[in-house]
Amino acid sequence: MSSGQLDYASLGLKVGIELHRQLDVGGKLFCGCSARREEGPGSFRRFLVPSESELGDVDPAALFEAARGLEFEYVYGDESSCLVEADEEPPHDVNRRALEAALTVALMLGSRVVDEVHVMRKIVIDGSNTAGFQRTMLVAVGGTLNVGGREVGVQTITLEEDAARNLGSEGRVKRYGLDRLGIPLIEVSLAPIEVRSSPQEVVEVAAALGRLLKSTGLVARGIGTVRQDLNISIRGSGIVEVKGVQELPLIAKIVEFEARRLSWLLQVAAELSRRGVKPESATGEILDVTDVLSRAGEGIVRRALGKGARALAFAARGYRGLLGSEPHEGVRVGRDLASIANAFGLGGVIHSDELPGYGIDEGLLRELRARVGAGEGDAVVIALGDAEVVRRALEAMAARLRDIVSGPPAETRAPTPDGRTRYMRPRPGSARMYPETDLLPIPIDDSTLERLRRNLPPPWDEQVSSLASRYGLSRKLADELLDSERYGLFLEAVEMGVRPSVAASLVVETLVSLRREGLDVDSLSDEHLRQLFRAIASGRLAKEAAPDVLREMASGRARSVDEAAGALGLSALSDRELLAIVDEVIGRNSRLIAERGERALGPLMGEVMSRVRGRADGAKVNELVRRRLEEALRRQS
Amino acid sequence: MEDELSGYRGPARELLLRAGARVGDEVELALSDGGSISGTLMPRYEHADDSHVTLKLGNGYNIGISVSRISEIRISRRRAPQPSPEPAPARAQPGRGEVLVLGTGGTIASRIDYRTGAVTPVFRPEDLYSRVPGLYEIARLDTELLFNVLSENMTPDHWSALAERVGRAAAKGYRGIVVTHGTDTMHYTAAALSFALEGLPVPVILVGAQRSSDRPSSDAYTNLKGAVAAAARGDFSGVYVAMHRSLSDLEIAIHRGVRVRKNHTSRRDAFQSINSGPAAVVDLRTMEVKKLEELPPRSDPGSLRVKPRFDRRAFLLKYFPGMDGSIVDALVDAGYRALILEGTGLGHVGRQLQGSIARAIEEGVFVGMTSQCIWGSVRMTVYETGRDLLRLGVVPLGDMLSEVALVKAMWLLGQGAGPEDMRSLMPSNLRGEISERRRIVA
Repeated sequence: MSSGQLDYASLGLKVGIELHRQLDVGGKLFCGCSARREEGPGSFRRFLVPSESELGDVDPAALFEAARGLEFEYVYGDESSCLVEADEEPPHDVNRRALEAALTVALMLGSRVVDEVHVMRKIVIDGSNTAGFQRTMLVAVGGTLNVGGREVGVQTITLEEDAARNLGSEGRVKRYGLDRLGIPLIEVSLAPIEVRSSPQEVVEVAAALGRLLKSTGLVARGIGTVRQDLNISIRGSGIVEVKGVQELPLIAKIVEFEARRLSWLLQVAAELSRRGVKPESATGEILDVTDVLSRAGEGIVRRALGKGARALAFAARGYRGLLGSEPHEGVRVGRDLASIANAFGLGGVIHSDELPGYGIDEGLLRELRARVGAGEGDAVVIALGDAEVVRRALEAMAARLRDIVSGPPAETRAPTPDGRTRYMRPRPGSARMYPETDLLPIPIDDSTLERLRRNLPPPWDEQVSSLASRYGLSRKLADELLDSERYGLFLEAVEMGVRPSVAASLVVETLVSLRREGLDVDSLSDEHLRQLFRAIASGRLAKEAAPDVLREMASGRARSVDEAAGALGLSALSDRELLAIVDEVIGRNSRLIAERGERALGPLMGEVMSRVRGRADGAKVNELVRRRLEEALRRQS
Repeated sequence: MEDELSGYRGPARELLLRAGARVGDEVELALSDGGSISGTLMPRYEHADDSHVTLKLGNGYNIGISVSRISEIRISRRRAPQPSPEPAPARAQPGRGEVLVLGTGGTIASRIDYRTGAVTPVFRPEDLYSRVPGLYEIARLDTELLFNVLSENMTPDHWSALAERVGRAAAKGYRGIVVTHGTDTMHYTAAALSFALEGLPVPVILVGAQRSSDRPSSDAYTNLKGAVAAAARGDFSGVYVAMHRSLSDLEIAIHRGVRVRKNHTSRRDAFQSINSGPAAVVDLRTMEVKKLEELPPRSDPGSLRVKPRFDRRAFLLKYFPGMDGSIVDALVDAGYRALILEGTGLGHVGRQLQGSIARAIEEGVFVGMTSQCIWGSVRMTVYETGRDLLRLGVVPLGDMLSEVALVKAMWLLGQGAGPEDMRSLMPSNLRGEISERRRIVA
């Protein structure tokens, strides 16, 4: 396979989008807590005891983790969490504004709203929900999203709780922040679209859906408020779910990567079939090969065994050459085996396509092949570590290699920041859901729907026009502004007194061009931008200096606007310095003052400001010049 | 009898009956405004309205569809006959356990069928072992479902039956006995067993759950493990309550049955020892049972005396500002023999009650004083009101919890105590229900 252009249409590439977006409707879905981000200070620890049937859906790694007795530590702050988040109090009634926001979206998409909403519990055992389940409810089915003439079907619209924020893990303890738990999320699932010529089509659909949601004025904006799950397949493959893609531009890259990966797996399957491999017999018995490998030369194998690790291995029939082949960067069967190893807490996996190496020479490899019964065309997969853990990990890897024989398997994958994907787990079967028995069903009456229908937000284009005319912006700028994750900051800036055109181009154009320079624009917090707007509004900083200041901060060289301004020599003048300049200007213009009296203020201000712009507050300058002018006039009279 | 249209009433039920549909059937509902919707017919919550039909869609979600919009119900597939639950592999032989688990109601453990949403309680030892990781390693269990009542429906008759059953089990040589119980009135039952089982040779541990057992986060499993560990390994005897010590799943507190109270509606650490700390604690990581107080040791079964009778003619009256004496008169007229007052502060009620209280005592009704402050002891010599009540014959009950005092009065009356016995035994410490010292650090 070449790494050139892909013919998407002939691949039969289909992509379904599930868009999740936080709602900004004041508070959480089932309690009155604030939805703002908050750290600590309290914490508590929990286990989850899922019933065995919940794990039945063959996620060996999750089963393994649960068996290990993972412990969860939940960190909470006082404003963002209460006993509901702690799973210490039954849920309150559903947040009506959140429900009505979901209904509004349903009406905009022409979906059929259910007569009675039932809150369900969806089992989640990774600790991201204190209860061990996520509360979710189906609000509407069907409908259509119009994307530049293309009609994309809507499957379902659901309203659910966001999960707790993952704060990382240490050994067997996973840490989560409760501030995000319970924030209302709307999920819109679109029917798969057939990609005709470019993955950009998928981006456009996602962007159109994003604009529709934003046009309600009820969704949260900013980093972490939105994520897309992509259901990707090509003809002959299972459906791959890529979970949690946060940025739109990444979608195109991921779709392209998956198209390449899936078509490679199709080729692998065809080759295996040509080699006569059958799914059920594609892997051999898992055997302890510690004695063979204990004779390995210097390298990681010997070091691991020296520390008491065991080595286990199995033969993969017909896989010789297919584990290590990398037809496209990152597309390699062996890479997914390594992800499985990682899921079990192992450092990695060794397969015969990379051997000789790691201190295993030709002779040892022959012995190894003989031990696990690997023939000429077979590969050998080896893992090192605690015998029980290694056995379970190898069982999971063998299962995956058997699956591949019948074609690219359905599975769940995670996006990587560079637009590839990484194996996470086998695709779960049907969602494990049962009713939330703490809440009664919620009837949706016609009068509510009627009221919402009468008050639907104006269409996007209309909102753009009114934004453009209200603030004197170009249509293009207004459109990008309304679509921006930082739209709220623009409104704040205008409120502070920043000229709308200045604020808009900073929020949209400046940030985009800085991103193009390769700077980490996402590291700029809203607070950074607020500081900047305050400085501009007060005249302490010239708007022309803003890109430089932002560049200082985005590159990590400065932590605040003041620090950046200081580093750039834009630091505010001290009172004494400012006074010296004012006095100097007034002294030089005694004639002007004598002629014009108080009306000399304008020209004097102009001259002073031209010298201190960006370094002194305009109002302060005005006050100083006025005082010194009055004094000068008194002296003259 | 099992209702095939469980929870459905009124128009929804009629519609389903006409169509011959049963819960569990796969149905297609034709809608009057066009289109149709398919799914599995689900049972209806009892408190939900009667004008919607609940359907589980293929994606697992339940939705309700208005009866008025359904023009026709087509049954596409009948519910498959329910397979009998698969027996878990037997790991223990019946009748040879070390700890007896007695069920009184509620669900200590359950399984969920995600296809139908049905929650099935499990109680057999082998099911408990498979449902509660690590339980099998603590002790072999026998289980027996004694009755199945909600905790708020428990009565002194249940206490009696439970006391007799626990007594027989203790005499039979179990290492300990665990009683699973709804949490709302668990502390009343704990007090009742404390009095009814004199000279108890082994630990009897009551246990419940604040979060239902159908959720992975339920405290039922950790509480049960803590209770079984205390019953099997605790080197003490007596009646206790085992529940979470904090919000974390780290420790199970073992509270004395006569000192414990449910102090929160929903938190998993709702149960607290009053005027003392917990008696012992179970570390959930090591399953070690650690005593925190001097406790009666295990003893010979021969010392056990079961005294299971309770007389219901005792009443707990909470005083509030302005309360009228007529309620006291009415209780006396209704034949009550003991009145436990939950007074204010150090043990006071308003002057307007004094006449009625005097009359009650004259008629041989025992009147005892506890405090609605919950923490601390009554002390009726400090203020004039208290001294007046003492003069009338009201008996101060120290730091005994008002609920415990009520149960104790029922029990003493049940043992045939007359007015003089009541006056002397109610304020005496029989089972650790009254203490002389209240520590600075509780």
